[in-house]
Amino acid sequence: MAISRFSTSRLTQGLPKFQSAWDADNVQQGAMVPIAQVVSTGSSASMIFSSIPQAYRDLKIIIHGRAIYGSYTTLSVYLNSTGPTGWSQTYLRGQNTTASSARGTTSTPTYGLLMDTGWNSTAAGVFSSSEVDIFNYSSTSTYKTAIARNSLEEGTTGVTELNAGTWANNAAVTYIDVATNGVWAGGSTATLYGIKAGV
Amino acid sequence: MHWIAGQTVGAGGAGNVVFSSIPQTFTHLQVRIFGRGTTSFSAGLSAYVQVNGDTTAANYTVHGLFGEGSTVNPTFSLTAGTYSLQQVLGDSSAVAGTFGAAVFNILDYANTNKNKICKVLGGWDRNGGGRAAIGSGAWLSTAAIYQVLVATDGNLVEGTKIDIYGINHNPLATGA
Repeated sequence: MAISRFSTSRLTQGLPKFQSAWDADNVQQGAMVPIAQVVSTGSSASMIFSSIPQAYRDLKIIIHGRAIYGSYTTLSVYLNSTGPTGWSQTYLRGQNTTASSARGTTSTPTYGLLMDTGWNSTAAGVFSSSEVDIFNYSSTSTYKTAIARNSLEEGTTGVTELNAGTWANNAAVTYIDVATNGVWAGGSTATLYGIKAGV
Repeated sequence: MHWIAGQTVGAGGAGNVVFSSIPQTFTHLQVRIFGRGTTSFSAGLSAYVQVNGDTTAANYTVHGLFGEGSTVNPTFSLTAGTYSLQQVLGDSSAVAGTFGAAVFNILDYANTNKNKICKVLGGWDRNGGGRAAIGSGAWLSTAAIYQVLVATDGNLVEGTKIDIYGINHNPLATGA
């Protein structure tokens, strides 16, 4: 039996009943594997993942975000340091009692995959909550499809969004920038997971 | 979440992808689709998930809500014949390399006392067209699900990737 330190997070991941917590080397790892997390200290407009391993089927990013910025703003996901180039997307959006849909194309590439996030006038302590799936990210023969589910709940108002985006580039994704205007408020987080295919 | 099986469609495409003998040891199932079909329909092709080989139309009901760039529309069918999410996969007229995606979550799939509910979201964008969609479906049977078939309109093209995962509850949590 290999003896190793284990963390609270490992205990809460769930172990088959025939295994002991200290048998860390033998624990069956799930298919959703944490790769890295960025926690904002309040000084940068970007939360960046680089040197992303290419061993997974898909990527998932879970973002808890709030910008320090004086007017309404957004978060934007960029791939491989190409900024907004190549992104197009279709939105489904509900804000209070209004449902809407909109679209962005590569001819007006102002943003990457786009979502609402908190800003200075958002109630204190409120962060947007986003879950972004990037499919087939390591392929070098297809464009990259992303599906994002986002919400910003402020108590008296709020928005819920579903975005479908395409990054028109065949390159494998090795770098992700979760960006906003101004800077990310301290405590904003972005966590990157790999979704495994195969055992 | 644990990977159960997956298939990448090879040269020549495939009419569908089938996962059989699905283990009954998980709490929920998730089917992840990165796909494109051979039919030409610029609005997009639908993602279909049929279970246990049941083709009886009246056994499936589906509801959806989708945005297509300017309008928001609901959709439903009480005789759908499959779980489905309409027009979220790439079609043959889109620029090469453009695929759509859908994630189906089938809850409590091994339970023999409940009809089987599915939640799904997905979409695609073809630079000037596309959809973002969310939906739900019911398979009106209490049988445990042991087989899943995935298809689209026409054939699935080479490069389509479909994986099925099992989602477990946490055996250490008490629920208290």
